[in-house]
Amino acid sequence: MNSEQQSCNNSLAEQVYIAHQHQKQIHETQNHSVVLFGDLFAYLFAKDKANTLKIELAIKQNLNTRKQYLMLLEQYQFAKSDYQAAASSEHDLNERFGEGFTLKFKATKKHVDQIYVILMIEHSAEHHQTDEIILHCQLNEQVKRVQFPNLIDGRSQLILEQESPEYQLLSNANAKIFLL
Amino acid sequence: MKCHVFIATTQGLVAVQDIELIDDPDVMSLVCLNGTAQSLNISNAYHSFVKKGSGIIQKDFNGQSYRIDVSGSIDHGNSWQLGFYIAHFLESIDLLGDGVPNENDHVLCLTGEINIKDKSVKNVAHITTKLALAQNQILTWQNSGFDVKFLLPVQEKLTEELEPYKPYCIQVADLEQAKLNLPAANKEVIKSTHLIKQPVINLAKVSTQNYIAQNIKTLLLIVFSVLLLLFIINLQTNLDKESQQKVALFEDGNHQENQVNLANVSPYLIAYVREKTYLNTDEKKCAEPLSKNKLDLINGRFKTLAHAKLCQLLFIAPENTKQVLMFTRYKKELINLKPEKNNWPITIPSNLNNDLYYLLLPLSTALTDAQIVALNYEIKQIKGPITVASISPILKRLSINTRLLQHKIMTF
Repeated sequence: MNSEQQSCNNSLAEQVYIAHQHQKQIHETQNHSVVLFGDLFAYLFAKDKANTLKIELAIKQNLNTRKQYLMLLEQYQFAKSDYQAAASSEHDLNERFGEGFTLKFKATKKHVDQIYVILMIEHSAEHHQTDEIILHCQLNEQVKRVQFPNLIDGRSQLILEQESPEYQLLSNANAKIFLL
Repeated sequence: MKCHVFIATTQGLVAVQDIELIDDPDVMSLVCLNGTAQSLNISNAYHSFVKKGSGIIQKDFNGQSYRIDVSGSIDHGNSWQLGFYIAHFLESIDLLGDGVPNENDHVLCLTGEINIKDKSVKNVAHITTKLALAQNQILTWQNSGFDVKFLLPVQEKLTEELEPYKPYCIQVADLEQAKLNLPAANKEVIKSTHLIKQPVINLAKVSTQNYIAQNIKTLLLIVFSVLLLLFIINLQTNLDKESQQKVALFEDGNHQENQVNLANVSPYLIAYVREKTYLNTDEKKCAEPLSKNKLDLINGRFKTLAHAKLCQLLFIAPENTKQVLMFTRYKKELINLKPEKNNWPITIPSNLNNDLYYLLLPLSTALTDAQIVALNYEIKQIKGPITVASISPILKRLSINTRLLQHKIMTF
């Protein structure tokens, strides 16, 4: 075997190895991002908190998953807050109004990077009084689930970091908010 | 001297680090972990405990809502109620520590639920577990020379189990008994607490045989304590009347001699304001007759003033004050106020675009120029605005333990 043939064989082996690695990676990615309808349903109602990031990533990356997610939201929503048309996108909102619920944002005095988020529901359902209240925020391909404690005196409250993705989405005038 | 409050839980002791008055009707009271944005599961229960009607904090200490920061998680149950109530009481007399005891500080560990109707302390479960978990830490504190007390509800059945913890355990039947075991806020209260040498119910004495005799002793002690408290309140009321008379004399403006004694009272602001607000910012706004308002300190804050009405602002500091420093919240300025007779005038900016928040620091020992330069440098390094929380560690490092006073001048 001359040196030219040897070099050709090495090159072929390298190509086969690279192709094999790519194929392996494709399978691994597919396994990680597989989100079944049940998973989506569990995410929607906060039944499976362990897979939250995986499902949010899948909704962001996969158009079909996102469509299914939005369809489920439309179907199971109790109330919705659409884009806040009057608000300026340059500043965070102090208050946002939905159909039947309101969110207020109040800065804390001592901890300047923390915000009180107060949820008020006008005509709440029974599950809002007894269970965690679930909100979903959606802006383009970004989604976040936010859980409030059950209502007391018609309102519930969370405290969020100003830099947290949840607060960024809740206070974004262009985001949609679904109350379950 | 501060008193540090620890809640005894089944996971160990949890320190109360801070109580913040939120005082916003929209914001509900809450319990947070370590100053972070993580609110604990008991937040809703604490909100009810604060609210007038369902709770007692608002009723006893005013304020709309509060935030309590604790060092560890408290997940469920109501045994935190006694500790939180006592923490609020200590905060109201400016004695609450941050959970890190220093020299001469006191440590209080508590467990118990409160009956909000009669303010009795109800028994709770897992007392022995809580005591056992706290024991090592309490012994460490005692070895370091701290005065440690563990307040718990009256136990009728656990006499033997509680025997190992006898030296520091005190059983309390109600909130008044719990308060009697706190370090005193002033000399009168110190006197009253020193008179009560024995704990309210000494564990060694609790037995079926002498239970009735013990109760009679306790009742006598309560009656005596109530009489003593009434005497102190009466004394305090007289003192208040005297100080009010002095303020009235000062407001007359013709009694220069009385002004020297005036600083004996707690710090306050005197604001000269005009009666009406006009939309235009006329330069002669202070030419018209002005009214003089006294702003008392409530929970470390003076009442907010409207800039458009304000003409002159004077800070009346405590008697032994040698220096008053002023810190502006957003511009991070350090201003060394210049005294005039017995007051410290605060210069008001003629134009104000945004609300002016500032902090006042009255000092009994004046800082040197070098210390002021160092302090000025440190506050410039603070990320974000100057707040009590952000500046307190700097002052602590410089061994300045004076309380910061907050005030806001509002624009429209």
